[in-house]
Amino acid sequence: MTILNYVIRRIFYMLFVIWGIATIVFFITRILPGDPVGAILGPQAPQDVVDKIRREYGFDKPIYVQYIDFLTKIVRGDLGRSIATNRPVIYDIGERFPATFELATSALIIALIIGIPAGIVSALRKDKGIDHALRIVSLFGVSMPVFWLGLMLLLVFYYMLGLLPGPGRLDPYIKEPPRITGLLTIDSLLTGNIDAFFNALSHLILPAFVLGYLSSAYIARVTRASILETLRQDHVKFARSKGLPRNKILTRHIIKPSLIPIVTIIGLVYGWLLEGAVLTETIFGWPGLGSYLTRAMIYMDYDSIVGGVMVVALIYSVINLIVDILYVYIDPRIRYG
Amino acid sequence: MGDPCVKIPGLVRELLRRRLGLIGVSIVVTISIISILAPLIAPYDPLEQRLEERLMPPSLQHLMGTDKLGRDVFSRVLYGGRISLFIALSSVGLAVLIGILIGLVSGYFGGWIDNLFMRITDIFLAFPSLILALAIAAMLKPGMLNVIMAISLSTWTQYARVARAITIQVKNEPYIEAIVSVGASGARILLGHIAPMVIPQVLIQAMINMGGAILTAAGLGFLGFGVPPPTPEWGLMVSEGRDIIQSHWWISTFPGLMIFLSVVGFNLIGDQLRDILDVRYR
Repeated sequence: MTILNYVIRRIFYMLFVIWGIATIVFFITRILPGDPVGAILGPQAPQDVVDKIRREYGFDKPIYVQYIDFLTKIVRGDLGRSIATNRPVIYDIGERFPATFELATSALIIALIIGIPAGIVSALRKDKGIDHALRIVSLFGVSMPVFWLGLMLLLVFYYMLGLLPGPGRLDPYIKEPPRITGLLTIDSLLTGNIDAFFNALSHLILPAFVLGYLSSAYIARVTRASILETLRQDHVKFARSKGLPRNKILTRHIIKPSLIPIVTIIGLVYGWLLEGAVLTETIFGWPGLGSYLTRAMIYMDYDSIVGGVMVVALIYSVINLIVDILYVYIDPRIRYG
Repeated sequence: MGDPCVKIPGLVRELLRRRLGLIGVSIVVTISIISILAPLIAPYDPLEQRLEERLMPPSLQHLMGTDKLGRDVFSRVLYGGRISLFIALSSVGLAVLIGILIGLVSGYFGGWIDNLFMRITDIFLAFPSLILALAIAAMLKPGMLNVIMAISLSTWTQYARVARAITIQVKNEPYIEAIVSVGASGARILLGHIAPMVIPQVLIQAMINMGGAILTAAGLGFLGFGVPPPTPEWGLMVSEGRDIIQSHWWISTFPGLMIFLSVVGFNLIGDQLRDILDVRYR
């Protein structure tokens, strides 16, 4: 099968999965008891106002009609309107997406920087002290409640030591750089605003570290297993008996082939980062998709919930698709099936 | 996958022989005992408000200090274990039950049922389960039963996949063929011969996921979608001290530490189980 065929088939399947997610969440919001208008207006709101808003958002129609409306709108790229902000959901999400992207990507970089070397060292010193120590460090990572770790780090590095800035993406006295990509670090560099760059970077450190540390555990585990697997293979034995220098065996014959599986889990890790972002963004006052979703859920803002969830599913699926395609380039043994 | 037959007693013995496994089991057992005995150990009523003793730092009188309403944090942490462990245990239990039923049926009968099921799992897999759990919990009223439902409805597919895989594997074994030729009914084969193979495997998977369930429950509680106040639930307690963490660190720190400790315990067990089974499969 050609690459193009494969990609087209995968894209269709991806659309199916996203439709599935949207449908599930649509029915969760519509069928389970929850009253968005009541949540926004409060219990004292006069009934005619409540009714008017219900009509405006179409909540008075039968569920199947709402569902058909919802699908026809989606096809046109309309994710509906947020009850809380009274703006199109797609607009809200577009505004908040870059913040999450910047955070999740920085976290991924940190996770790789911590996870891969830790996994390599662990595997090469299997069952030695350092292996146990590293495995315990990563075990702590997966066992830590994200929100609590975030809170503790804020307590120590912001409130007690004053080394790092508190919640938010920028200090209030720094003027936000003009929006080009929406990524504050990139935008401030592009406009030559060094102050804003360092300020944005310093705000990124804690939340990105929290998310990165938690995900590094999984990367370390996969790296370790993969290297151990490679170590058992004949080509390594052969390289050793040939008398190749240790360093060369390590880099060319052990680490390089072992890193392939790690590429495949990056998609998975990115999904966790998005999940972790919900709690981390709440702690760090990060104006991204995660905190948007949380707020939408508190207000039972139907269209925002469904829209936000769809966007998360879309990002997750697209990343996994890219990873699968990349994988074939890295490992020529794999063919599209 | 190797031999689908897992003997739980042997597995437990192997687990206890390993140092890390033993540590994990000790942590989990200790926390469970403390939680069960909370009414005997706790020095104060976890709900009792003593406004004159509010926001007191840890001392001999209040080991973990007191919160905004003058409630003893130590007592609340002890009682919190009951709530948090109960939620985790029952949500995993419910998810396992749904997963085993659907996995058995889908793996055994195959055809369109299986197809439909596989598509549903694909959809669930394309999505972080915490966000799904959040959406469900947000739509239901806060409450213990609803948290349990939210977590199990968003995680059952993991168990269903394991159950289905084992079912298909066992279904094709010669001894099942022999039972079929003797004339055993479908229900008898499923319940009497396949289910006993499937259940231990799914339970192991459940054990591996217990730590994750505690974290999800705590996350829901922290965001306010869990058990409503004044119930002492660890996640909720962390959020109750969040806005005054700068001046009163103990309110959030201790409940979070308990979440962390119990998840470490379960994850140690889970890691060792995975290790033991991996070795066996190789």
